[in-house]
Amino acid sequence: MKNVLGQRSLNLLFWIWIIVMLGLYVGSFGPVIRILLSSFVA
Amino acid sequence: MTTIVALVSVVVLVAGCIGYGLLVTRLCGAHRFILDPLEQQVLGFTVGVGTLGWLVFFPGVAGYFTPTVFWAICLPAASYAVVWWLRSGILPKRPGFSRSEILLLALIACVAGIDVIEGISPPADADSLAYHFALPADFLAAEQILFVPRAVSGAIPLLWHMTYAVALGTGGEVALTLWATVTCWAAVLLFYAVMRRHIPRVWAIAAALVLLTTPAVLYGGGNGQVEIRCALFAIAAVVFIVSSQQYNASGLLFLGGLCAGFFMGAKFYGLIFVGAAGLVILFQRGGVRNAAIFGSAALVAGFQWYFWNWLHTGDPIFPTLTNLLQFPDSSIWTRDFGRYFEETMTQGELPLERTMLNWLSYPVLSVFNLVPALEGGRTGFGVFSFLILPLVIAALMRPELQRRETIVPLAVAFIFFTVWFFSGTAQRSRHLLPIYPLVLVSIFPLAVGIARRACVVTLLAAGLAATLAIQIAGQSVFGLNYINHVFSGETRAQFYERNVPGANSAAWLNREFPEDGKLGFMNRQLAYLLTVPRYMMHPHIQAVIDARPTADDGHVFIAQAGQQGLTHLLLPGDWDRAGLGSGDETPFFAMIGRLAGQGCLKRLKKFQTVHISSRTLRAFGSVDLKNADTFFEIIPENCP
Repeated sequence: MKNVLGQRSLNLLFWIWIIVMLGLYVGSFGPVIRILLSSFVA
Repeated sequence: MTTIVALVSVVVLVAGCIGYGLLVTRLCGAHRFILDPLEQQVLGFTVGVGTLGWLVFFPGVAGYFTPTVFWAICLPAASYAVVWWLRSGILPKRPGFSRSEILLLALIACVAGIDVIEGISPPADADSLAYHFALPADFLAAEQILFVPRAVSGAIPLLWHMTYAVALGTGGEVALTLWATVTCWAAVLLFYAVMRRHIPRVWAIAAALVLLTTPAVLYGGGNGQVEIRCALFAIAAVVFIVSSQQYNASGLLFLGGLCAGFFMGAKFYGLIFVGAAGLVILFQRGGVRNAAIFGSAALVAGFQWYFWNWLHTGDPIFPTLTNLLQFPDSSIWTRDFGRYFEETMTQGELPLERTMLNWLSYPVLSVFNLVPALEGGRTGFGVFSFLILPLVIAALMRPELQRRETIVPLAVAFIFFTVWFFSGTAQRSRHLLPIYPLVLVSIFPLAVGIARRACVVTLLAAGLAATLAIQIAGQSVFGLNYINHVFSGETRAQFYERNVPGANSAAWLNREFPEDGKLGFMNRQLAYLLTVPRYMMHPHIQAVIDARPTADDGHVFIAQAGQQGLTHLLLPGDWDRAGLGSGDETPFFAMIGRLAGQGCLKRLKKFQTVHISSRTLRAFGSVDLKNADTFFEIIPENCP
């Protein structure tokens, strides 16, 4: 039981890490994404 | 027909490089230790391409820099490779692929397809047009290697450029750009082969795809930028160093030294690499002896361009020692210009203070584009190394996962980065690309190892998939410009008018410029496009014609232009307006206005052009600024 909980916590932490890193990275392309999106909207 | 000649040229070049590589490997007695067929071919290609660039230097300086000589150098080696293949009986196996592998291979095929489209399009990267491809074209036209008295993009190590000249000379422009594509792929293929030593095939393919679509690789892979190609030498050098320890074979170490030396012959940063790798060797078993073998080989492979620079300037790493030791003023460099050069370098290329904190935080600042001047976004390394960081840290805490094969590349990369950061050189992230694959070669197998033990393989795969999705999307956006060109039937001239500011002026000048004239120009991207006799009056990196914004002595300017034999000038700005001003109020352009007012410079033609902020984003509506260039004739009798 303890092992299962530990594994789940580990998975959850790693998921959070991946999502945060990806969010920060994609966010750093804000101006580029704005240009790309505006061309599609137009 | 042009494409067929280009393809034949590239095939012969690849075979020739493999041939030279196999020959040198055999001569070093190292062939007995490299048993995997893929490693044999790719390591052979790496050693061979360096050997080719090294060999071509000698006929080049002797005045025999011609396609005939290139064919004569390549064909025997290509024949050797063909004989070797026939004798060794290497036949492609039919390996069974899993579904994941088939998916990854399909993605690689798509990415490679876009690479090929870029590879058959004309070169458009600014640095490639300014010197990576312009210098080989100039040397070919002159049939010899010329000394170019220009810092950063002239008096530099040019080993890779020698191979560009071979491609251009034997197969034309398409062969040149395809050669760039193929050499980028070779780096990724070698990376895959090394990864395959440590991890299962599916992970190795995924890692290769991550590298192939890394923003810095997408940016420089299909043009003349040498960083990814230097990565080829860096990976091979480390592989040979590790193998030499494993087999206790000096031949392998010598090959490692050759590869490090080729890196040194291709870029000044290769000096740091040789030092970093030498230091790692020094602290291993048989340190002094092995470091001596490695260093000697590196010196043999890399000395040429340092000797060439020293011969012409007295400074092998021009202009570093010239500025540092305050060499006396000469016709190509002055102490005053040296101070200006260092100031502009610091302002433009060193956004970070060289402190311990910035050194430690550089990866974060770069990857998340927190300091845009580092250019870590569109031409950086992507987020992958950060995604796997927790796994790597966990793996590094387990001694059973630490192996020499993963520690040596990491140590070399770490020393390289540290020396690079504190040396005061340009801090753009893409300059670290030669060592980025070394970092991945070290940390990715660790991440895979720990992920399998800790049962988080799905998570690692998810991170990989997300990285690939972002990077492939990035490549699609980047490749759209070239896809438009290839599938729209656009001509080369139209492509250049769309992508290079001032290309219309270059096209007109190539047609109309007087035969006995010589043009001075400032827009560096025109160097490759202009086929008339010319001199690049770069404001920041050459002092032969002082075109700094602060230069305001018309007499000196005209005298220096006269020494270069200039008869005409192509200058930025709209000089048709009243008051003879270009709109640029710097002292240099005020001086040009005065010379035009005196009749020393006669306006002949104005060209409308644009300042393109991004070739990639142009199709998506990024804003370009309207601009103009003016073509002048120098009338000596009216000059001061």
